[in-house]
Amino acid sequence: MKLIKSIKSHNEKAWCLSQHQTLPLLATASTDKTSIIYKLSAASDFPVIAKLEDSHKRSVRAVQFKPPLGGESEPVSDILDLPALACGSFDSTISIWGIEEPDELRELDGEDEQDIQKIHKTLLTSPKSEWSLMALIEGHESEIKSVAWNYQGNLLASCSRDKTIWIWETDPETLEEFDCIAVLNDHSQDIKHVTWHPTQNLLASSSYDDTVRLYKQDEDDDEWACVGILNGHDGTVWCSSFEHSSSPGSSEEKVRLVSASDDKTVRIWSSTSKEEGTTNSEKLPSSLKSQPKEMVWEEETVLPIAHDYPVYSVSWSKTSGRIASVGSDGNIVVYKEDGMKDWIIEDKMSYAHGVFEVNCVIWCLLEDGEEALATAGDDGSVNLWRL
Amino acid sequence: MSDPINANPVVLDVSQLPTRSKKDQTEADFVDQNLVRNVLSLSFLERKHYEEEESAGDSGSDSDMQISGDESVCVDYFEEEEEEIDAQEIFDLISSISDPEHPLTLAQLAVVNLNDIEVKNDTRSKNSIAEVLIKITPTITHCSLATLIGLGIRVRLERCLPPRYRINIRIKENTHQSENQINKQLNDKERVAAACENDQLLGVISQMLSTCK
Amino acid sequence: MSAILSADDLNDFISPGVACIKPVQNVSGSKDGQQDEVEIQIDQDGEPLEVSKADGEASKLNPAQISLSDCLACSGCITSAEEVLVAQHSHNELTRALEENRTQQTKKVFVASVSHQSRASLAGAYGVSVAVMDKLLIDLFVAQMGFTHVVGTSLGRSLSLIYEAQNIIDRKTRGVSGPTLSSVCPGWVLYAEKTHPYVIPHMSDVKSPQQITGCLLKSLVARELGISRDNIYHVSIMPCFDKKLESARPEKYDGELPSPDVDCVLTPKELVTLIEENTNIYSLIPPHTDITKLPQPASMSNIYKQVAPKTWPSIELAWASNEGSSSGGYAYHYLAALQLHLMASDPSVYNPQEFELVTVGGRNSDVYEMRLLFRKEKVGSAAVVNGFKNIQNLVRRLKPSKSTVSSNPLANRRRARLAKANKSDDSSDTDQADPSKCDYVEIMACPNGCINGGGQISPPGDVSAKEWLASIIDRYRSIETISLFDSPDARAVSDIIHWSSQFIDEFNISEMRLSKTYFNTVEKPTDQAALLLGTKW
Repeated sequence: MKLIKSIKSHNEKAWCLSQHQTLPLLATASTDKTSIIYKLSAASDFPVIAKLEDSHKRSVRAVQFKPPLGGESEPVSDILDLPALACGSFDSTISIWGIEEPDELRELDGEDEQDIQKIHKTLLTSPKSEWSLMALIEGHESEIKSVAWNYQGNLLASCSRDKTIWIWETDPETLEEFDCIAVLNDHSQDIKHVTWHPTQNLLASSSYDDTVRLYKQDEDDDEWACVGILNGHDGTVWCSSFEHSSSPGSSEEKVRLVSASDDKTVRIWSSTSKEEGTTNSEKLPSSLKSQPKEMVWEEETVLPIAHDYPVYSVSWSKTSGRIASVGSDGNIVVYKEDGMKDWIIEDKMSYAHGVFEVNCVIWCLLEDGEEALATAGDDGSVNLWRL
Repeated sequence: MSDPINANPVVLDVSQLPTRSKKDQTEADFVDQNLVRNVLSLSFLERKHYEEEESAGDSGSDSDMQISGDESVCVDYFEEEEEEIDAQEIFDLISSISDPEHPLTLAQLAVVNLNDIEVKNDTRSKNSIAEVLIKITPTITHCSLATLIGLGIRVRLERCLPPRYRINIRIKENTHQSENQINKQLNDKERVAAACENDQLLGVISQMLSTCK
Repeated sequence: MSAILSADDLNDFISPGVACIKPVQNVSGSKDGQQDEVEIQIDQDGEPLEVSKADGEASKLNPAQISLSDCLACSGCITSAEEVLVAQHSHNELTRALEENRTQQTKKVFVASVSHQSRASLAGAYGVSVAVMDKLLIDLFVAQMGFTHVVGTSLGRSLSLIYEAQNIIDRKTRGVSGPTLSSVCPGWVLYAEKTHPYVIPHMSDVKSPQQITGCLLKSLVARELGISRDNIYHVSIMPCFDKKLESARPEKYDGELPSPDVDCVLTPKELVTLIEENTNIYSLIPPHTDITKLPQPASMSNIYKQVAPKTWPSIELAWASNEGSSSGGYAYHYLAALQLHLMASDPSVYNPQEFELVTVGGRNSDVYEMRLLFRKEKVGSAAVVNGFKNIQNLVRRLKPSKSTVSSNPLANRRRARLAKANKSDDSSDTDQADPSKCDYVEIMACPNGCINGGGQISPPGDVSAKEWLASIIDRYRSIETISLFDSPDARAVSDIIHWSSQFIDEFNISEMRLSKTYFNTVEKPTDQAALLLGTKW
């Protein structure tokens, strides 16, 4: 593993990173109450595109870019998707940021389709596009720990120390109104992280109560409910990440999730239950089932132990199917699936942020298409790594 | 509610407490100078000033800088330090923290004890991750302030120790009925970080730390 | 919100806040009033002692007591209220009171009022019709427990509906901006007071059926039996635990008439527990009876009449139900009243044939809007909002100063851009219920409203919650209804108003005492000790 670039982003802890699904944009979250957006371009030395400030009274804990309209697999073609970002803060609010449609876009008629796409990308990732606050969402009672968009960008999930997950519905284009459509209070403690499945409306939450829970919407009445619980970690679960259905190693019948915990382990869980119901619901005719079908999950494996301290973040690569984890010990560990269910450590970097703790790792694609790792640490830096 | 939770704690005489200050006078002078500045930075007044600025709507980059500047004073002191930090050093940093409800220090109340502090330094390198383990003994087994005391100790050490130290604060075994619960909360970096942005809590903690020598 | 108090329903709730911050009042009152410095010690028996530092005199300390009204006035936990509730409004408290009455000299008179939703729930649980359940309940209370009077909450509800409708029409005429919000659900009221005080000016201060019924029932029974109001013990059967909190709210006009108007609130769940724990004394179903073979009572009105106070206005007003939602139909009755009001204001213009009532759905079944149209023009609107998440969306829309974000120019331009892209799609402005723009909002904390209250009996294991609820709603709908504003001459309304003004005159109380409640903004704690212990992180 080789350091491509270390960006001294913040003077205080950097907590979280997110990359836009189709644009080379990277956003940070920091104790200094700001979020910074960078362009993931090695050629232009990772320039700052925008600094989002003055809207939060406390740390920005989490960031995530909204997926493109219609989702990445079936993007909407008749309207250009403008990037947008959600920031969750310890001040218990969520801010939504976006840009105006660049004026130059309107003059592009008649050009070659491929050229247009290229120009779009350049314009949408230009520092000339001004990022401004579009909405400030209130509702949680205490610190927000994580925010996540579903794959179509019409649902935003947020979780908090108040032990609840809220799901907000919005028009993914205007991002004008955010209506609460569910308040999930299944966890018994502080909820650390939420993440959506990359191609379906399945939500996973990680908690201080040592469990991961999964949620789905009932087909009949649209109510959200807990459909699975992952017991096994012996400590706070800090983070989880779904395997992408197009990633190498994924199979159609199986949904997999990787989780990282204070107990120093990283575990993979899987569910093959596509249609099967539990014994309880089998007794009932289908018309009477009020709960969404429960999913049966099992622990598939514990990844080779490579952390001496709590593991704070884990990320499953869509491109290469590899998993990366980081934690308090400053290590970056990259795992690779070697045959069925057998995982080996492919690479490891110690002191990735010097003696500081590393809070977040994500897989990202640089502007030139190269896969890289991005990490954020207590030193306020964002480091980019080539494997 | 204003009644003390433990009205009659056992109190140790200050002169009985272990200290290093006599054995190396010159070093102690150096320590004092720095710590005086450090104490100032943690004092209630200073913090209040900071809060006022913040509540006035000014996100206050000046005051932010001021705080981090003070932290670096602390860090510098240890970076210049020849010797490695040992248990006595840690004890000296936290022994004079005030109890939130008694006009006594944590050492006087035997909440912190030298024997319950362990420092694990990596012998390979001075720049590698090291660990400090502190076991605190609440004055009574249902002390509802144990978490607050632990938080005060953590804040003190986070501000004064170099970043390579991982601080592990635990309740001494069998001295509190909610031992596991408190241990988990005190060692959750995110909960601690959020607590440090709570003005009410910070006010209380600044008062606890205002007596630090 | 009820869910906290019952720890039962898991979908909707508000989470507890900081720890209890009730300031300990200095009740000890040391000799000659002076306050010595004292120390707390524990004596050999483990009892707390207060020892004066001046003279060493020790006195025993009483345990601190927290009452339900303390909890209501506090921004702290709501969970500790649960314990208090169990103590003050438990089925054990009722059995204890009944037992005490048997053994002691001072005789209390027991009276009960039963809500519509509870009757439906109990009837559903025992698989009988509501009429049969009414008979069984009357038998339980009167024949077995020795109650002197039992009524339904219908008279109280009718008055509540009438006062509420008048109140909204009055506010609308005066041009009060923003919607009027109902305050019939105590869970919602408490939540608003504690976390969204800015909505309090929108709240209607009309009392709920439980409280109006209590005031009437106690007064009439006291006069009929020639006893003091204080000697009457009123048990109210309600679908919801939060009704206990409501009954504990101090009266604003207490001077006129001693409160409380309700002494004990029990839910159907608790009533069943009471019976099951005392099978040797009480039974709802007569022993050795096949419930399926219980005869339908020929005429309930005779039975109702026997157990109501003699001066209770009309018997159908004791037990009958009303049109509209199964929470009581507040939204519906406002619009019905508004139509009558308009017709009365200008009979030549407002022809009843040209009115129309349409319902507009919201994003889920627990949000909808009803619009009163006259010649296809909207003249009034009322919404129903049930459940925590829908309440959330409403209060966020009502929050002052946050409107800036919704008029964000960026969002406007994005919307415009979208409209241009979807030129073909003209009907993009889908008509959806927006309670924040209605004249009136009927708000209930429980999803599906009061019929699904936290105190209602849960479905047996093999029945789905949805199916169960549907069967309870069917039973609720089977209760005969009375027409208030929906009859052309509104005879019932004028009769009730006439009767209630007589009542007010005869008992020399104000209309305020009978019909108005009030709200408080709950202050955040400032006491240092409270902060020390109460600040959770």
